[in-house]
Amino acid sequence: MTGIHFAEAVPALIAIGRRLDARGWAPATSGNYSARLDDGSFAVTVSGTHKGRLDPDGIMRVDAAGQGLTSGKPSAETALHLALYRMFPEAGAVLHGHSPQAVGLSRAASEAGEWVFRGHEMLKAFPGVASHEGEMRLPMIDNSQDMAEIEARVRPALTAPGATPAYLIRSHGLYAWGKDLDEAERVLEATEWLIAAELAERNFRKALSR
Amino acid sequence: MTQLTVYTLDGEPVLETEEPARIAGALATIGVRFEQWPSRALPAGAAQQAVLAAFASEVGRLKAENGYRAVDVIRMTPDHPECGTLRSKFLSEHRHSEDEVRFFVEGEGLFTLRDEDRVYAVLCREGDLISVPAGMRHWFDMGPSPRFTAIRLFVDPAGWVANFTGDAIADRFPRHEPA
Repeated sequence: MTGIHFAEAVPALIAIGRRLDARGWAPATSGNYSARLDDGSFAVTVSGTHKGRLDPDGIMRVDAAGQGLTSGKPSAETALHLALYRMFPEAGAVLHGHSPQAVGLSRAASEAGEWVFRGHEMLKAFPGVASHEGEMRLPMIDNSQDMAEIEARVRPALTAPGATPAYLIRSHGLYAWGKDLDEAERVLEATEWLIAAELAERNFRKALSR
Repeated sequence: MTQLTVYTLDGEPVLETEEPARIAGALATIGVRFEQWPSRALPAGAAQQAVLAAFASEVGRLKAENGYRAVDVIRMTPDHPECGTLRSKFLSEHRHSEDEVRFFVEGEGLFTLRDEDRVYAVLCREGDLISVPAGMRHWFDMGPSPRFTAIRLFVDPAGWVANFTGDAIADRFPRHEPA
């Protein structure tokens, strides 16, 4: 069984919360993070906490069905994390950020089922991508309070060949994952950077065309 | 079915799709709005007023979002005396200083849009809204036997003039020649 020990996961998740909050990707009580543990259970952030100010009580353990193994109420979106761990047995960590740019993109492109990034050097940050000369397709799906519905809607795009380990829920933000917390954080950061870069490019183009 | 084909500038197709969410996604990436509006039952040859009344809520939303002040309905039929001239008018690459906003009430037309390193050919059909942003290089082909009714939105109809780029790129891509 792959995965890290709970005692290792707790400080790592606390540190990630501080970093993502510092970037503006975890305002108020938004965002939730998880890691696969070495005993087959999962460390997840508890519901309703500020992710920039997590303490050890803000991280709990759940089993593969989402039942709490330690005290606390798991994040309402734990089901989405567990769905990703089921879909991708090699995934060791899942991070959900709630940045204004990602949410803004998903709402502005309200009919779009994906956003395509092309030609960015940053594409090399994604696992298995060796050149900037590819395309990255970021799936975008509508929000729902029904986690099973979100899972069913996004599954085809996520399991397609060459799919990116990230997707965007409309009005809600990014989900990113990787083989461990470092890789998941890199995917989240690179995807956020791509969105911010395209927004900046769009603004410059508009300014320069006048 | 509405269809999108994406080409490299050399004319090599890299994506072909009829899936509305993928079409909207690919076009959103280059700043082009694509939507599908639910169809309304309209009599054949319905007057401008009736067409605009049927789509009043969607048109109102676009006007509020983008500040369009003028709206009209254009209808093209194969027996139009100048349909050949009108077809040829927009076949070469050009730009406008206004957004080109078209909703296809019926019929079809082929918009081909040019981005940095890709060409996007969008065959629009009944129910499709496309908005090509001001300044984007593109061309439009209504086909040899044109038939469409489209709602057009403008900030200022007087500003809607084609500025031709002089580039012959449009000749290297497929025209709209329905079987």
